[in-house]
Amino acid sequence: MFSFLTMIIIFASVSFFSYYSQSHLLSRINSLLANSIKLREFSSNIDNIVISLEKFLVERSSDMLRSYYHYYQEVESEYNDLELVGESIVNYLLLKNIKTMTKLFLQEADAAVRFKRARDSAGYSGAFKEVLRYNTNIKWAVDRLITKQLEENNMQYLLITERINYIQRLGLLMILLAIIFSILSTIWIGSRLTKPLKKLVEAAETISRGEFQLPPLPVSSNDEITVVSQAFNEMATSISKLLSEIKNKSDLEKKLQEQEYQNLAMKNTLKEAELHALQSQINPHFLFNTLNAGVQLAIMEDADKTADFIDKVSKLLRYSLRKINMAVTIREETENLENYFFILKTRYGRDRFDLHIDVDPAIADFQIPLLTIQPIVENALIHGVEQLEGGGQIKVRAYQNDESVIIDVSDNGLGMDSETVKRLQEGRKVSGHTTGIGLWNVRERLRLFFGRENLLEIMSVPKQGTTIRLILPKDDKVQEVPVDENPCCR
Amino acid sequence: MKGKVIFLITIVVIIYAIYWAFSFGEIPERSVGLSLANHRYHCMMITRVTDEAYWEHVFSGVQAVAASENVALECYNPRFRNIKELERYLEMAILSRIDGILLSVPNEPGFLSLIKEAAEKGIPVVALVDEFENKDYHSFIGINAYELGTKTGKALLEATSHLRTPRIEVAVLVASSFSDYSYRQYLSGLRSAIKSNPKLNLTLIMKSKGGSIGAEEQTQTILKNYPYIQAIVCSDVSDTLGVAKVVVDYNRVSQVTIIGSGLNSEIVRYIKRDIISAVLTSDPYELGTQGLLALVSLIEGRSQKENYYLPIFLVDSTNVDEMYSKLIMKGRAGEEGE
Repeated sequence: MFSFLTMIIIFASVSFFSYYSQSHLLSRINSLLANSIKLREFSSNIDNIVISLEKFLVERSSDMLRSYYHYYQEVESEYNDLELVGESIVNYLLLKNIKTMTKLFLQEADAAVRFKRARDSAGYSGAFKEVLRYNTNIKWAVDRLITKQLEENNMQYLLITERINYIQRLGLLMILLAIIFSILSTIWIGSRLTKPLKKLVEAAETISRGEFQLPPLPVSSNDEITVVSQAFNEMATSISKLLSEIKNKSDLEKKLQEQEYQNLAMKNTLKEAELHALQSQINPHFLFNTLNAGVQLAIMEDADKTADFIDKVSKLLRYSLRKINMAVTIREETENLENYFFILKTRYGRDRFDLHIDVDPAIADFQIPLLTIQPIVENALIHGVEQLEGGGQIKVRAYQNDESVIIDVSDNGLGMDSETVKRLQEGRKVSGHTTGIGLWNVRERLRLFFGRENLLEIMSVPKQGTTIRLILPKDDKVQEVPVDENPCCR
Repeated sequence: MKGKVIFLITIVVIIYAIYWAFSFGEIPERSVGLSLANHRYHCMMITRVTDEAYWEHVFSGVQAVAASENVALECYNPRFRNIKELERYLEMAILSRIDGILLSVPNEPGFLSLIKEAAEKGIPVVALVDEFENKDYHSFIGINAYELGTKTGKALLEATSHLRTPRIEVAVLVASSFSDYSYRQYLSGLRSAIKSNPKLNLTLIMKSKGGSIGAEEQTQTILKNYPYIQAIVCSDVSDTLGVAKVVVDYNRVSQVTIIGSGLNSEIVRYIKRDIISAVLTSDPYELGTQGLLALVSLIEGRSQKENYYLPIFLVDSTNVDEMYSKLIMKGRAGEEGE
């Protein structure tokens, strides 16, 4: 708005200057011409007075006297009103001289008339001579004044002309400036309009490339472009938010899938365990009943040892047939171990190997997965001490520190080479004894049960023995292991 | 914001342009610093300018007094020797009954009668530089012709003292503006000054024609017709310059001693080159101030007659710079200061 106001003021000023200067010059020239004409008329009237007076003095004509008075009155009325065009000191004083001389001229002329009437020829002759002198000097002074005024006004004219030229040049310059100003304004307004549109286009292209994290478009003006930019910013924010939600959902789904995968893995492990159990426990119900019948038969025959043996076998089987996902205490696990060992001792002979169980009573009720220790002990027996002629020792020791419950299963058997230890340590499944559940199985179940890695350590020295150490976290929440119910274990 | 700034700048520029345009194109008035409506006296100064530089300083002095005494002053100073025009101005001044007249015109009979008429009509007239024959009707501020002659003679004695010839022939070019009285006084003073040296002989005494060209013509005649002339004496600045030019043209610099009058930059150059031996001059600024002060005194009736002789200074190669800056440059500085 100010731009247009500025333009209007510039053009108005140029027009005004031009108009003012030209009208000023014209009025000055007009005044000068009018003044010159007035001075000439005045000079002519002075001449007319002299002519009339001379004729009156010569002819004594009343007509000439009337004519004389006519011009006399004209000069008398106008000489005091004579003015200058552009006062200067010289002209002012010259005009003053003219007025004084005119006044004295009229007095002398009057004196001449009076002398004539008084028939004083010497008087009117002398007075007329003076009138002529005044006439000559007034006319000369008037001519000089006109010339001087013309000279000065010529100078004024030249100066004003120069000023008009200057103003015209100024006007030209202003028009030029206005044109430059208009071009710059147009470019500026154009860029103001197109710049945000370009940014909008760039932002849209960025979004179309799939980059949703872009800074908001600047909103500075108050026009339609701003409305569009604001809408675009809101759209970009909404898209970004939506994408974020989708991503979160996707992450969640991924986690769920992982969870499911873990569950599936657990199921597989369990199924494998169950398969192994079933393989070794054919028709357990029939076997239980059979074994119970065997116990009763042995009691009736007073074969107490046999009865005891069969009872232990029965307990072992019963323990083994419990729900595989069930948590048991260390005490229960060690009791089962004792049963298992009783059977083994009976089978192999009492002197070939021995089992020592040492459980810290404080952790006897610590819960661990079913059949955790027994497969390790079985391994120690089969791979460690079975080859020995005698004196085989298997030690189970359960104790605790601040953070963990530690269960060591050690033997003094053959031990393993470092390669085997490494392979087992890395958790690779090793095909082992077909009747055992296997070390891998134990490790996996512990990982699922406690939700942590590296709960099993293997330390072995060839020909000296092996120690399997279970490091079980105390304060971790025991994870429920989802398993399919086994109908045969009810 | 930008629009407002541009708008404001435009307004300021336009206001400045209006001020500039309206103050531009007016004729600078040569004001003497007086109020036209309230001036005390209306005086006229009619002079025939012989040496522009000299008269410029006279006008400076007059205008300074006019400003301080509140005198409206009409100055008429035609360049050329037009006696009729000068008489017309003087007659107009008398018929217009102005308060006083400063006059420096040649001694012509027409002026004398007009001066008498002015005196009869009670208009005081102060003659500047040159006195008129009849001293009853005017006052005088200027150089005493006798003193000028004496000092010129002394300068001539000094300048020709080295000449060993039995006689030293001298030509005298007396200023045309001198009245007969001044003429006689001047020669009287000159003679009395040189009588101590009988070798000096005023062989040729001429009244100059006035103006540099006239003086050149007369000098050519002197040098051609009187080749034995060894010194030329002038009492006018134009005559001095004319004589010096011809002496140089005729290659007679070392043979002709010039004693002149007046001081301007050209004469300074001639003195420095030993073409002119010495000049006699007065203070032009003082001439102007004393002239108008005397006129005001006469108008106010504080005196009936004023006669003031300005000091005459001898300027030669020993003091030319000092005197030039004292007499000429001082007046210029005073003029600039107004």
